[in-house]
Amino acid sequence: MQRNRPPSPQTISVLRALAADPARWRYGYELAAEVHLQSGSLYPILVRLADRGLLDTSWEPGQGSRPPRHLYRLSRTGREFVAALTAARVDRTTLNPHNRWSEA
Amino acid sequence: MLGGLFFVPMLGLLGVGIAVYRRNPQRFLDGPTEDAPLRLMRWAVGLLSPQRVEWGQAMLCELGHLGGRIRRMRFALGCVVAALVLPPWGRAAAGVWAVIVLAAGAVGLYGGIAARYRLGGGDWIAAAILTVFVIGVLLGASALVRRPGVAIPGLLGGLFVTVTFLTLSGFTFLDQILPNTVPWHRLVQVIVVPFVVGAAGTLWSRPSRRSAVRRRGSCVQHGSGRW
Repeated sequence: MQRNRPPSPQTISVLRALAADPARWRYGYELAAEVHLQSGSLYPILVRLADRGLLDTSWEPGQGSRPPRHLYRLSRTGREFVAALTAARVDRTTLNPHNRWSEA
Repeated sequence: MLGGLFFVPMLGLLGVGIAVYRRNPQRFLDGPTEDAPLRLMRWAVGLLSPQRVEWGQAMLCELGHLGGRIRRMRFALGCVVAALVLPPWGRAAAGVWAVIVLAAGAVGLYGGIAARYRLGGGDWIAAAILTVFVIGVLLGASALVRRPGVAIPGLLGGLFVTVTFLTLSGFTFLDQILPNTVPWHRLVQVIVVPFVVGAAGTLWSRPSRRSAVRRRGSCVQHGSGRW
């Protein structure tokens, strides 16, 4: 059963990092370093986002002795989701200026 | 009694040493070809359910791009956590969790009994040895449950060991615990039964293990690279 829980603060920070440059493919470790998350937190988030269709994934081919690498970026649905999230934040801030949406 | 308890872990350690050497004798000449984070990561990836195999490969490949032992180890430890909590749980992860719960329950029960009946220091030492022993069993079980087709034989082997041990100790499931044991009972418990189970495990055909090894992607081959 798919649950539609509101995204956690960590999920939101991952979404924001991805939304900063939606067209760019990102590496897992790079993303983890940017949002200050351990791999144990980041990968379950990425899996959930991909399961919900918010994330596109791809493989960068390996070069020489270097292994291939998994890449991530927001899907179209993901970009719409982040836009809706941002709009909801603006609405809530307008209704209640003391509400800090960063805890969403 | 305590002497016997020390004897069993020593035998276990010796067995593990022989198994490691027999697995790859060249390793002792050439040194390790894979570092600890990569081995840990491979173990963790084996816990994932089949639907998450690609994510396991993703983590494994990402590790191949990381340099520095501490950085690699931190990344691998995080991935172990991810593999254990990531739904849906594969059979291996579910098995590891079940064994962890059982082991914690066994140690907790022993500690509870020792505290309830105010047993002496020797029993606490025995409890500590039991804990170490249980951790060893946990590690062994976590490696075994990833192999296809070992769940039922493993369960039967464990039941055989437990029933033999309890019966020969005098615990008959009827109404009493008989304190008197015959000397050869100890021999059966400590030598014969582990030998029978170990021999059965060695002779157990594992055709799917080879195919599982063959399935490993290029990430495993490259994963030990450090840049």
